[in-house]
Amino acid sequence: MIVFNYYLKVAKSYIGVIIMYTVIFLGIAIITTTSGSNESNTFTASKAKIAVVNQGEDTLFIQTFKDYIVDNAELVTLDEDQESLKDALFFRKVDYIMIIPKGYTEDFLASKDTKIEVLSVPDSVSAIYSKQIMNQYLNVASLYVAADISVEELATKIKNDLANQATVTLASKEASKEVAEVNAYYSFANYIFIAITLSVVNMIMISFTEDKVKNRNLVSSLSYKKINRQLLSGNLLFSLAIWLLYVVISFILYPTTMTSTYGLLFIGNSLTFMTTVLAIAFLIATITNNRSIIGIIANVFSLGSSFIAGSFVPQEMLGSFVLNISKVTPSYWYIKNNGVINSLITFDYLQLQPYLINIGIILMFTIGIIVISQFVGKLKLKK
Amino acid sequence: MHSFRYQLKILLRNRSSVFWSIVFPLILGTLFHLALSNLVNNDNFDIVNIAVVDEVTDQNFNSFINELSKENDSNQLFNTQYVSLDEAEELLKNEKITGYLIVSDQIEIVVNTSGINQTIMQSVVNSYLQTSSAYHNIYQINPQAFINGVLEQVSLDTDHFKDATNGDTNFTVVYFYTLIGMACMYGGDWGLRITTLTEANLSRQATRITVSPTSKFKSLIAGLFAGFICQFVSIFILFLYLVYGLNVSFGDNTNYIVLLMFVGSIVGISFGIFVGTMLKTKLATKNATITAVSMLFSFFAGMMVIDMKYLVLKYFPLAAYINPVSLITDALYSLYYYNTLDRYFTNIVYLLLIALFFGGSSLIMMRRKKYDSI
Repeated sequence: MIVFNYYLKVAKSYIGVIIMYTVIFLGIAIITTTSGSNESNTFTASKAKIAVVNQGEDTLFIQTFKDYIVDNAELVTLDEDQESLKDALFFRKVDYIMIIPKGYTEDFLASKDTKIEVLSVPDSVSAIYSKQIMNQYLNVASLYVAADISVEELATKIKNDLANQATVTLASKEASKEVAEVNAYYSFANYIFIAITLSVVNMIMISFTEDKVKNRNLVSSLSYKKINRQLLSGNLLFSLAIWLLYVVISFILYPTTMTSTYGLLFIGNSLTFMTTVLAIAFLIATITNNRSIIGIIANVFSLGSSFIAGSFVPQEMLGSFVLNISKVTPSYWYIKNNGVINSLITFDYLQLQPYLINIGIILMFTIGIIVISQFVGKLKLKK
Repeated sequence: MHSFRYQLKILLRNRSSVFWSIVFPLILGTLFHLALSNLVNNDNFDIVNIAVVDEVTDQNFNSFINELSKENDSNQLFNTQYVSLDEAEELLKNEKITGYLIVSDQIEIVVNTSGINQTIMQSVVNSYLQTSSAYHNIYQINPQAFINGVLEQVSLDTDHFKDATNGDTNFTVVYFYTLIGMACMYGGDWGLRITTLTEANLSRQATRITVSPTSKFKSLIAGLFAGFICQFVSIFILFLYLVYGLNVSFGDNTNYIVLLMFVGSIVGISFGIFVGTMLKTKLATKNATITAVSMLFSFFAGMMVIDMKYLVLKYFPLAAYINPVSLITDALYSLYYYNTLDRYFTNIVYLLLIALFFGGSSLIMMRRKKYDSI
C-alpha cells in the first residue's frame, strides 16, 4: 500500500486547490440548477414583460390591444426616449417593446400592410413568446377586419376568442417538474465531473509520472502492475468522493425525487459515468505529464463535450449532425440516459431496457479507454 | 531589448504550451459553433409525432391538423396518426408519440412531460381554438364574409412586427464573446510565467537574471512586453478565426474590438502576475487557481448558461463590474447591439481599473524584495 499512501500524501499537499475546485464547480452546478435559468428551455407560465410606445392616437383598437396584453402578459410603462428604452431592455425590465407608428389603426383597419416596430431582448424566449401571442391577436383581428366588422364589435368578440385555451393533462402524475429539474442537475454533472476529476486527478498523478520519479518507481521491487493498481485505487477513492458529494447535494435539493426509484436510476447512471471519467483521467495521465497541456485538455474536454452532448443546451435542441458527432463521447450516452429516466412512467423491464442499454454503452467506453491506456502505457514503457 | 528577446524566447520555447494556448480556444470555438448553429434556425425543430383521438369527428380540426402533417412539406409540423384512446395511451407510454389530442366538444392535450415539442402542440391547438372561435363569431355577425371569400385572403401566419433592434439579433454570439473573455483571462498563464521568470526564488532563470546587472524593473517590463505579445497574438488569431472561420458577427467597429482585446490582454496578464506574486504556493496550485477562477468568471459571464449574465445584472450588479470576463463580453455585446459607445467605454474603464488593481498590488509586493540566500 506504499504507493496508495503516498498518493494520499500528495493529495493532502494539494488539499487547498482540491477544495477550491470542488467548491467552485459544485457552486456553479447549484447556482445553475436552482436559479431557474434552465427554464428557458420551455415556455413557462411566467408572464412576458411587454411595453407599448404609441406614437399615434389612443384609439379604441389600441385600447383593446392593450387590454389583451394586460390579460396575457405584464404591461410595463417606460419613459419613451430611445436611451431609456434600450436601458430597460438591457436590464431586462422589459422583454418586448412595441412601437406603434402613427396612423397604425387606420392602416390596419383598411387591411393595409403595416408593421409595428419592436425592440426586444435578442436572446430571450420571452420575446419569441411575446411575438407569438401578439401576432395571434393581430391575425385574429385581421379576420374581423376582412369581414367588415366594426371595431366596437371586434373589441368585445376578440377577447372571448383569445381566452380559448386547450386543456393540458399530464398522463402520469409521477413525472413531476422535480424529475425534470433533477435531470437538468445530473446532465450538468457531465461538466462538473469532467472538470474536477481531470484537473485534480491529473494534478496528483503528475507527481508520479514525472520522468525521474517514474524511473525510480520502476526500478523498485514493486511491480508496474501493482503500482498502477494502487494509483488507480487512489484515483477511485477521490472520484467516488466527488461523486458522493454531488449525490448528497442532490438529496438536499430534490428530496422527493431522489428518494424515489427515479433517484436510484440517476445515481446508477452517474456512478457508471464517473468510472468513464476516471478512465479518461488515467489515460491522459499516461499520455502526457505537462501541466499546462493537461489543464487545457481538461478544459476542452469538459466544456466541449458539455456543449455538443447537451449538458448545457438540451439535446432536443441540438441538430442531428452535432448529436451524431457527440455520439463518440460517453457524455452523449450519459445525458441521453438522464433523459430516458426523465420520461419513464413505469419501471418494468421493458421500460428500463433503453436505460440498461445506455449503461452498457457507457461501461463499454470505460473498458475501451482502460484498454487503450494500458496499451499506451506499455508502449511508453518500452521506450 | 536584450532581455526582452530572451524573455520572449523562453516563453516561446515551451512549444506545446504555446500551441495549445492558441489552439484550445479555436477548438472550443468550433465546438460552440457546432452546438449552437442549430439554435439559430428555430425552424429546424424536429417533426413532432402526435396522435389524434376522435371522440367526435371535427372535420375542420382534422383538416387543420392534416394540413400541418403533410409529408415532405416545408411547413410540416406533425406526423399524425388517428387512433383509439387505448392505442394512444399505449403509444404515449412507449414514447412513440409526444402526446395525443382528444377531440370532443373541446380539445384536450395529453402529454408525459413538459418540453419544447409539447409546447408546440399546445400553441398550435390554442391558435386553432382561438381562430375558429373568431370564424364562428364572424359567421353570426356577417355570414356574407364566408360567401365572397374575403376571409381566405387573410393569411393567419402574417408577422405584424418588424424588428428594429440593431441589425440581426442572433443571441448565440454572446457565447463566442464569453469565449474571447475567457481567452483573455488565459493570458494569466503568460503572466504567471513572467513572474516565475523574474522572481529569483521561483525559477533558476530568474535567479540568474536577478544576479545580472539588469534592474528588476527593466527585466519585468521586458517580460511584460513579451508576454503581452504572445497573448495578444493568440487572442487575435482567435478573433480572426471566429470572424472568418465561423462567421460570428461582431458588428462593424473593428477598431474598438482590437482596443478591447488589447485591454483584455493586459487584464489577463496582470491577473496572472497578481496570482503569481500573491500566492505563496507551488506553481501547480497557481496554475490551477488561474484556471478555476477564469472558469468561475466565465460562468458568471454566461458561458455555460447564457441567462446567467442577466441574472447577475439583475440581482448582483456589482458582481458584473468586478468580473473581467463579464466586462469583456458586455463590451463586445454593446458594440454589436447598441448604437452608442457609452456602455463600451464604461466597460473599458472598469477593465483598466481592474488591471491597475492587479498590476499595482503585485508591484507593491514585488518591489524591494531581496533574496539573501535561496
